[in-house]
Amino acid sequence: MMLRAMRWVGWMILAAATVAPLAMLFFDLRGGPPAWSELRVGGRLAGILLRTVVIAAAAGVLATGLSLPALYAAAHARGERVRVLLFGMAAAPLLSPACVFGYSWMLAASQRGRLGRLLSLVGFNDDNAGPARAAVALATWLWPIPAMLLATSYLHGGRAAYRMARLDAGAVSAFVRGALPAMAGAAAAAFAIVFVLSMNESTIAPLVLTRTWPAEMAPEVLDSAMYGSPAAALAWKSWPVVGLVGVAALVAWPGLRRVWDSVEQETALDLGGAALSGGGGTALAVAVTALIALAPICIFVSELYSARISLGEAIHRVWTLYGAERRASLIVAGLAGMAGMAIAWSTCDLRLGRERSIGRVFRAVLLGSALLSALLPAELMAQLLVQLFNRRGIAGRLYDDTPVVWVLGIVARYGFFAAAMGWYAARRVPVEVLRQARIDGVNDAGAGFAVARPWVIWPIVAAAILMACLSLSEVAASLVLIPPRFGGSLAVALDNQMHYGRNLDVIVTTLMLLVPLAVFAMGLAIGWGGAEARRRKGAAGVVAAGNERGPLGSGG
Amino acid sequence: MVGRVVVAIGLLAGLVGGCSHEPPTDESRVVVVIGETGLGNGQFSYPRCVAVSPIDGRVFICDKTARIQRFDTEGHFETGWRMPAWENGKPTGMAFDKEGRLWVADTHYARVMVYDRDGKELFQFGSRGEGPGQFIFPTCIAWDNDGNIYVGEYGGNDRINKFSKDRKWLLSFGGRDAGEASLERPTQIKFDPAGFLWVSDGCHHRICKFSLDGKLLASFGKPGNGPGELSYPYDLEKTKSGGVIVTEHGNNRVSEFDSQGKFLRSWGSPGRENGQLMQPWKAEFGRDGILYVVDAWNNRIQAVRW
Repeated sequence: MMLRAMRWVGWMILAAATVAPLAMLFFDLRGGPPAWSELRVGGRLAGILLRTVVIAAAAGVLATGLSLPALYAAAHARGERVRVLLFGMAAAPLLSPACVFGYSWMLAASQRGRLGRLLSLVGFNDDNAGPARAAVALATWLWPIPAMLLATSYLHGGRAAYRMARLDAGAVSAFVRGALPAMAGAAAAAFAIVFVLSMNESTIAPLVLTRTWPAEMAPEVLDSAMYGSPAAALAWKSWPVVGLVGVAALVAWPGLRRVWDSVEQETALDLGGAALSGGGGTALAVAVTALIALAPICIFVSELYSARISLGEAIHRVWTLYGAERRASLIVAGLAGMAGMAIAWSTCDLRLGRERSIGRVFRAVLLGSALLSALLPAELMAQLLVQLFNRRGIAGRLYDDTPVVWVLGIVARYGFFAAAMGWYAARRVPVEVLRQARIDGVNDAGAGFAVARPWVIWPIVAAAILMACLSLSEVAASLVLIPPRFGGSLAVALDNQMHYGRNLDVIVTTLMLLVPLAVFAMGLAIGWGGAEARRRKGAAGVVAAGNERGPLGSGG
Repeated sequence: MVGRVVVAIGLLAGLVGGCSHEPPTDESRVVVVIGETGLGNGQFSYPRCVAVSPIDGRVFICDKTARIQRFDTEGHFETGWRMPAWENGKPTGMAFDKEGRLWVADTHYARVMVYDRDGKELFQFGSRGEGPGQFIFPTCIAWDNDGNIYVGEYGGNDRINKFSKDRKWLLSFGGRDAGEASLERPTQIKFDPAGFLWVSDGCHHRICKFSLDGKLLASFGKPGNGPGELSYPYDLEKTKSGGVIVTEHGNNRVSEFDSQGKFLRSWGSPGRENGQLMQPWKAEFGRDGILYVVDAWNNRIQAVRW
């Protein structure tokens, strides 16, 4: 009964966070733009928009370049442990607040040591190098996305094409003519996703002293959230970015679909099964990947070292300094994690059950809303939630006195990924298993879950961890939605202080935040990887036993 | 099974509802609230600094739209003007000299600009750099009894610069290599009648007392949110009895200490109602014991009878 209730809870949370605000937005938009002349982007804003597009495109290229060592390591790693390590190293930056990367590169550019002098030589510290700093910061945050997509694409099709091509050609030619075409879709999807995320990221640019469209949008949204300007006006103002993001999403979709389908087929993926090349090249690639992943942490540690502070005292100090923010953020992370788990289960459960046409429509509306919410600027979705809840009565009490609306803001931002994890979980369950379960009379959620658990449990747990970690890192939505009496957001407090230069307490607190995020990422990688390995071993044993018995189980 | 559901719901309700509490408001001491959210005259978008004219008690506020607005003592808008440049950032400090000129620390342009009370620019000085007399991010200005000018800054220099009356650099102190006397984001400096310089050392969460030649004489404060503890003290104001009033950005309150650093009382708590504060930045005394507190996140100034 609890599982069945949780299914509806997940849908309700997703509906409250995405469908309701979007419905209100479309209702507000029905009157059309205020005046066509107001949609023109001219002068200073046109320059900022162009700069934002260039930064986002450069970040896409740089991120792809930074992902190559990880791709090489994943393709040549000997054994499952290295791949688990790589996955953990790749997940950690994505779970961290983006402002950490802006801050770290700002510190690096202003350092007086060797790194600062080296960066000065190439003009990284110059006043007009802000766009370059922004692109580098975005790339060091988002490189895991091309790494994961390209590695998955290579392992699930690119490598087979490469091996075929190697029969007749050299290594480089085989890779360029064999593997790359098979990976082109994934590469395009990776570039487009990095582009989309960069176009909507508002915290890095101010820290590296440049101006981008989302950073310009954020103060406008904060102002309008406070004096009640309708979100529709913001939406009309956001049309260039929403349009570009929409185009990028369309570019990304075919490649993503192909990667998704190849993973489902599980072709040629042998985590530790076949002997792979390994060796010094792989070790070097892993080391370079680690360096890229740990770059911000290295910069922070270098700052602390140069300040010669007592780390124990600093930790004790910041533990009290940000106590209220830490408590509030952990509570919200817990609630967001529960919401993520409920959403993932809802999506998963729907796929396990027999599907009626009304269910398909229901699913399409919810998932479509979740996707749209994820693509729209965070500040816009947050403003919609403010308009929904900032009123007298129960809604106002929920907004002012509880973190409910704040959690809904997190769900609006990231709920689509939880739903995608649930969808992926359900697609992993073999059709034969479901069919046999139905034949055996399984018709309720609890028994269905028991049957499908080996395939679905880890993606659902991953959805919960993902939502919790992302909520700890979320700045844009939290900035608008924090209830003033609830204690504050750690990520917002850190971002606020990062704007005012070098702050040792901020550096220590950021490190304290990154460590559990990295632990969660590695824990997820180890737990999931281990479970997969055990499941495949078990499946291989069943197949071997079946082979011994013969196709009809008669043996011989 | 039902029991598990009940326990789960109870836990959830406790998490959601049990964590917020109704902090006390102290509205009774609020004399007038100046401003509201907006971009028009008499409206603010994240105000950060305040200065009260010693000539006529007019209140000057600068916000994050780079506007400086002048209000009368009852909070009515009179006039305003905008900084000449604001793309890189907006001012974070202002102060009046004895002649009634408004000195503005134009933080992100590494300069100090001086205006008359109507917004006419009189002169400016400063350039970006780490050398003697240069600034990175100036935040605050004060004068000693001899008329020498002191400018506090952060962003790498984190020091106090002393200039002569004709703006010739004399000395700097409090930089990063100054040991116990090093500062980290000094955000306000004020002189007491005895001629000592008090500095709010924002990121060290303490208040420091210096001699005129930059020697650290005393300091008090430790990070925290308990009574007498400090969290990002962004401003300090001296009282007639020699005490110190500290605006705590991180704790959403204003605290008073005696001259030895002993905690006396505090005012304010997190919230949006009158008597509550969200991310206060500065506070300055006007006439008749009225303290003007810049309630930044709430886009207003609360005039409090102290």
